Amino acid sequence: MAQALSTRAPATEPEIGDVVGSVEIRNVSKTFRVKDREVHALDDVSLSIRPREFISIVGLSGCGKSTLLRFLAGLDTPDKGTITVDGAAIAGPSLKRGIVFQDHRLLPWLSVEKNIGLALRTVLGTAAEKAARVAELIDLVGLSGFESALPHQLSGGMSQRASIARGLAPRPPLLLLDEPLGALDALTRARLQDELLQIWQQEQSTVIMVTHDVEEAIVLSDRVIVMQPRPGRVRRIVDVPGQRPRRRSDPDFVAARAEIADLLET
Amino acid sequence: MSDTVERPETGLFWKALLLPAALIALWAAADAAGWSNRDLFVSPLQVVQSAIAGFADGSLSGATAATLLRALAGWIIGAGAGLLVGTLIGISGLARGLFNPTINSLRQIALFAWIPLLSAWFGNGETMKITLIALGAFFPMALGAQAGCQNVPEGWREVGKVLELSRRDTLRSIILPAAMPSIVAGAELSLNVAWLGTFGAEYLIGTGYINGMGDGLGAYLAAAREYARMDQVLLGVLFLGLIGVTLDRLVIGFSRKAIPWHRH
Amino acid sequence: MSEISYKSPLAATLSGRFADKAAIAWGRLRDHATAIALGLVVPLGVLALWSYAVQQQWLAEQILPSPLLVWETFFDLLATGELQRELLVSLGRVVAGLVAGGGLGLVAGLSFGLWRPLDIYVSPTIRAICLVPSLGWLPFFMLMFGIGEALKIILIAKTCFLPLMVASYEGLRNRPRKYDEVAAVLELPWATRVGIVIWPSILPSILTGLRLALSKGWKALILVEMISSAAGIGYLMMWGRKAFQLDVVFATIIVIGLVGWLLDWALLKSQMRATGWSFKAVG
Ligand SMILES: Nc1ncnc2c1ncn2[C@@H]1O[C@H](COP(=O)(O)OP(=O)(O)OP(=O)(O)O)[C@@H](O)[C@H]1O
Ligand SMILES: [Mg+2]
Repeated sequence: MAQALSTRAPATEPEIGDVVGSVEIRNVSKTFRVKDREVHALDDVSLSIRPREFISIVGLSGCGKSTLLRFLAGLDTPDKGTITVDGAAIAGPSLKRGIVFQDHRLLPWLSVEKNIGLALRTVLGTAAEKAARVAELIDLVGLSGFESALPHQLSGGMSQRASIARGLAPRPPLLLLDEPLGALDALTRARLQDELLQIWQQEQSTVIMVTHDVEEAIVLSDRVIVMQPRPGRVRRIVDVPGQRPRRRSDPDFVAARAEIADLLET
Repeated sequence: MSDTVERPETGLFWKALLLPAALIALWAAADAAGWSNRDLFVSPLQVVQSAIAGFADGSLSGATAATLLRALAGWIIGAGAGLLVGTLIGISGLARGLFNPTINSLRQIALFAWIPLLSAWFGNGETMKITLIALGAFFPMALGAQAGCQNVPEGWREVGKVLELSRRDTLRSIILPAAMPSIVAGAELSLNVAWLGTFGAEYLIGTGYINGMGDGLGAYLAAAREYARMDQVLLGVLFLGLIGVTLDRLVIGFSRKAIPWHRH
Repeated sequence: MSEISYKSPLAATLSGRFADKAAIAWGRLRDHATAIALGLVVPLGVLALWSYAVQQQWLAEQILPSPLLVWETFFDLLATGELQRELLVSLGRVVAGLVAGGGLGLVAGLSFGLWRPLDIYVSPTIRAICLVPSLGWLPFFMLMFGIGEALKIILIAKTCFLPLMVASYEGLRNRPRKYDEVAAVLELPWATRVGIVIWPSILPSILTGLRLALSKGWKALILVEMISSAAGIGYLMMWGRKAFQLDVVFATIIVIGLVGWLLDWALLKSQMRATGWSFKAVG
């Protein structure tokens, strides 16, 4: 039943089973002009991401993390450079590249259930299948009992979880998460980290997650991209050693954390 | 929600009534003492009596009903057209380029300035009045719908894009709900204009400056003024206000239902 | 001449900038031209249909004068000075009413917003009175004040009162409280609070109210002038209607719209300037 719904809606699109979210980012630059002042949000950023990889991006505020994710989502285009997903240039937003926004962006006039269901609008499947998928996701993010609540009746963390559920709903092969667990308490956060790992393994998707939490990055990812601001560049790519689940007391873990923390501080 | 906290209506209601009560008492006292000009200052009792008379012979109730029906008919036509046109202009750049300048120019013309023209074309009957009311109701609604559809925050549009919603779904699930507060505000204003426009048209035609009389509260008031019946004038004004308020309340109550996520 | 032909890197970037700007300006010009061309489609279409209808005599000349005649009448009215004279009368009435009514409205709104007892005991009555549209009061005012000049000014004043009262009151009540909290946390003195937080935050609302008042006042004036006046632009239009000179009616309608638009535009400009200032004051 995990395969009941998928984003394989139009027949002309490549099948999801063939290629799963390999990403090539080459020499991407972006400059924003704000009142005669130029902000180099990204400067010559290159990155390749293998299929089924779990990538975290860390970096100080304003180093262009969200901007990069918006490119991948197809919401914005770089000034220079190319980005390809599975060998094809990004033409615009697609359900195959699901994004969970930094601000949760739930539509205030739709209940939690309908907000999540909106992501399944253009997906193949019967209404019952879709309803089941929504219920499953609500359960997954721990919002049972709040199905018909409106967003303004939720706490910040609950909204964030609903937004994660909406991002997961169409089972995108490439999942883009912009600080998805930022507003959550430590306990819920740890639980959702486990869930994320599980979803990632089960769906065999590629995940690119922006986070400010170095430990979270190490616990979850295969590689951690450390970025630096003004201009936004990739400082270093840290390979996280060791099998999952990772323990915070492992020497490898401690070493990686020290390395990344060091990069962020200087 | 915050409204009920800040304005507990029950407690304040009586306090609000103090001043009007005092004024009416003063009015009655002045009348009893015979201070006032008999022609202009009728007693409160007289107003009540002519109200009863107005209802008994149906002149007042009939006038009110006629005005109400006329305003509603014109409003439905005008606001309906305004909603359609405003939404179209709000979502389509081409439609905006084509119609916006014309609509914005026509909007500048005071509603009653249309009366001479419309009355020359359609006479002084129902066609002319309804056309005028609909014309007045059209602009606020079109403007509200357009502003609402045009000013949907980019973040919500992006949600529609990343979820690959069709144009229809985007309109239904994102643009129209996001525009709803603005649309409701437009509807409110539009009803207001319709109500006012109805009265103005009736009054202007009722004053006999353009041949013919007509019916409705406007004509009732015009006649009352003609015969210097202050009691009837006050009564008409009172009714005009009461019904205007009732209509407003209805729309506000409805808008709370229509946009429960919106803070009033 | 070597200084001129020598291109420093700076000069290169400068000329690059210039080319950029020229391209942007050209693009803007083209956008404007497209916008104007698009916007003219409907009016020109209507004009063509109108001329055709006149030419084919679909309607009597009396009911539908030709566009050309309207144009000529408009210039006749201008040449004889009649239009300017009537317009001046109307504008004088609007300004007088706006100053009297708007000023009172502003004072009332601010006092209701600042002094709670007044808000509880007095404002409901005022609001109730205002709930009757000012045109509704017209017959009452006509009985009370006759049909002279006072009637027009009082009616306009009454019309302009409510928008400014509501705008200043709502501006006071609905201004974002979070800035108050910022001011409180920063322990700003009272005067600074009023100057930096409160005044700029209600100014946009008041200016919006002013625009509303002016546009409502103008529209109300037209009706009074149509009903009872021997001067003013509304009177001119009504005269055209009664004499069945629809060319005059058309011309005055256009003037009424134009003046209404101009008044609003002028206020909008000053509102933008003032609001820009207020943003600077906040920042
Ligand atoms: N639409 C925009 N217009 C102007 N400047 C922008 C825009 N989007 C981003 N920027 C600028 O680009 C830079 C990078 O922004 P971005 O949102 O990508 O940062 P970020 O790494 O996600 O930061 P944070 O961790 O705070 O979310 C910032 O300096 C920001 O001001
Ligand atoms: Mg960000």
